[in-house]
Amino acid sequence: MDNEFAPWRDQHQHSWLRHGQTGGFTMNGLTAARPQEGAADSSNLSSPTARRVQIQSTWRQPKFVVGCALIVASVVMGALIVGAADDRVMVWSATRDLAAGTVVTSDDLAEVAVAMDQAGRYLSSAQTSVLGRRTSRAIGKDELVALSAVAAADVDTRLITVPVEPVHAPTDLAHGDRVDVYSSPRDAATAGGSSRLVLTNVLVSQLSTDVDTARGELAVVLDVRADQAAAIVTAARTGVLDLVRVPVGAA
Amino acid sequence: MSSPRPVMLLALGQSGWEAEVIANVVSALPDVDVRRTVGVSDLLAVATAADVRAVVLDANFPRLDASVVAKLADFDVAMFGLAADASELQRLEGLGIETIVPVVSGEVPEAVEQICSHWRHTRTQGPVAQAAAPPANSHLANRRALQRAHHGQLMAVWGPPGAPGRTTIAITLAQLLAQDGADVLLADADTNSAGIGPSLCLEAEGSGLIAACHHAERGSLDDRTLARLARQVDDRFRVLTGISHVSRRSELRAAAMSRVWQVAAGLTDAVVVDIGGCVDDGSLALEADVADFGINSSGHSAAVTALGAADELVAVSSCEPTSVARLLSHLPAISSLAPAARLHVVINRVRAPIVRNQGAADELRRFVATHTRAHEVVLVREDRETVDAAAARGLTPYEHSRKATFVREVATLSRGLQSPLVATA
Repeated sequence: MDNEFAPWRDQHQHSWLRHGQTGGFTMNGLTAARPQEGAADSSNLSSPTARRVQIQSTWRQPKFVVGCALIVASVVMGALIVGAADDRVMVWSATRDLAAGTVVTSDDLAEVAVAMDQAGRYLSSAQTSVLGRRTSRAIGKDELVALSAVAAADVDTRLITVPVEPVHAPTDLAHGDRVDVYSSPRDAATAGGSSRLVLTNVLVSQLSTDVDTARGELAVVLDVRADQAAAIVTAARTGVLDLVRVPVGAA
Repeated sequence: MSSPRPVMLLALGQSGWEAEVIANVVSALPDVDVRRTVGVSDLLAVATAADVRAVVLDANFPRLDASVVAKLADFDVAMFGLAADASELQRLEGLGIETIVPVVSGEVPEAVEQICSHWRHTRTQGPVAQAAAPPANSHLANRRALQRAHHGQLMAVWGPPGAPGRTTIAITLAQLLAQDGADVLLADADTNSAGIGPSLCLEAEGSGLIAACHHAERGSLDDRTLARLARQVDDRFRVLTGISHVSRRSELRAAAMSRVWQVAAGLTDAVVVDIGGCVDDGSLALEADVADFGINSSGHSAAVTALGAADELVAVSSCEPTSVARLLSHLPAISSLAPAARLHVVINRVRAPIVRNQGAADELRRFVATHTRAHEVVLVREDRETVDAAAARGLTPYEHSRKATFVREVATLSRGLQSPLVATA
């Protein structure tokens, strides 16, 4: 810069014509910043940044993002709430009417989900050991199977088949019914005795008319305790049996 | 006019040393007809009529601007500036006055002595050789040499009337040049419909072009000022926005606009100027010229001066026969305004049937090349999808996708324009 101004300064000895340290040009105390030539100055020659209107893509709009967040949050919250409320357990229900004493097969049961506090009273579908057990009482179609309705594997029962003349049993006798068993001497006149009650409230486990007995008797399978078996066998051997239905609900 | 004595005009403002200057000049130059002028109109009227050889211009002379200085230069008048401080010196420089004498009250005789030595030198050497005059400010000469050393390419992008896609081409071209390492200024000199601001989605901030022109008119335009008025869009890409309303184009005067292009070329490696369809150099408006000494704008000054300064002329036409016909009918007039420019013709929006038919494309290229004598003819394929998608996002096609067909085809043009840039680098 000195060289540039030198001719001027030499020619005019003006007191105001000075060279500042920065290469500026001082006159009467006023300093006018002069653009310095050369590459050193080029960094100062950038322009202010252009302000451009931003057209945001649909994906980046805050509204869209907030909307998505709301949807996700409500789905998650809903799932948590419903999940918490849906405290259901799977239990068995009957697919058909099951009479008392029916041996339960897999066809007889279907899983249903139930929401209840006392699901423990019912038979969880996880328990498959129930298959092959007999029902201890009648279960209607679509009823949930209570624990109490399926007999524990009771090893102390015996199935005894006894012949009964059709007219000495209730006409609509079916398996699952409970009956009192009476015994009468085969020849009532000769024996002179009267009928006696052998057992009460015995479960009819099975009833078959297919059994071919010469006298056209029904073959009735009774479910009795082991210690009662002898009494039934004796009664069947020594006399004829009458089955008297015990109404449902009777003690 | 009885005397054949040469005339020297004194154009002085209210400075305090005004009378002293007059008295000293009159006594120092007895064989010169020294006259005083009081205003710009007076100055130009006398300069038009009399045999004026020199004008002493005070920086405080009322309404002194670049247009007046340019007009005096047209009359082949030597100009001596009087500057009382650094800012006045700078201003006179900006107005285009080459010989500047410092003056303060108390030292007027010394200043007048210097003016007289300049005058005598001018009388012996003639005004043409003035640049070589010994006392001419050497720092100014250095500066001009530096400006010449860094002279960016000025590329005028013009297209015939009918929206051939000129602005889109200009923006893409500027961004491609910037991508290849050039510092680029894109100026919007379309005084009918300035489209660069809207195309870039710039917030309206007033016109950079008009501001720059006013600075040039006052003599205060330098590269720093121009940089401040431009807006940086990208690292190496800035824009000078155009006028927002047609009525303002009369503010763009030729002398000042020439200075704007000169400073712009000094500031950056490449100046891309977008020029509107109809350009008229004002030769039809002779009466208006006389009325205001030709310093007011015909409305096309920005375009005419840019063409005059252009190193490269890019003519953009659409591929329809009507558009090509318009190109051919307007181009000779445009080319004559840009005598120094190499001509590149872009046939824009060339559609699939022509692109697929190599024979048709070659024929189009050959036809245009023959009739325009262009340095090169570039066919740019129609890529509506890219241009529309970019517009929908508020981006330029280049920002939208650098690999788009449109951008790749404009790159051909950019490579053709870059060869001199690379050569000088």
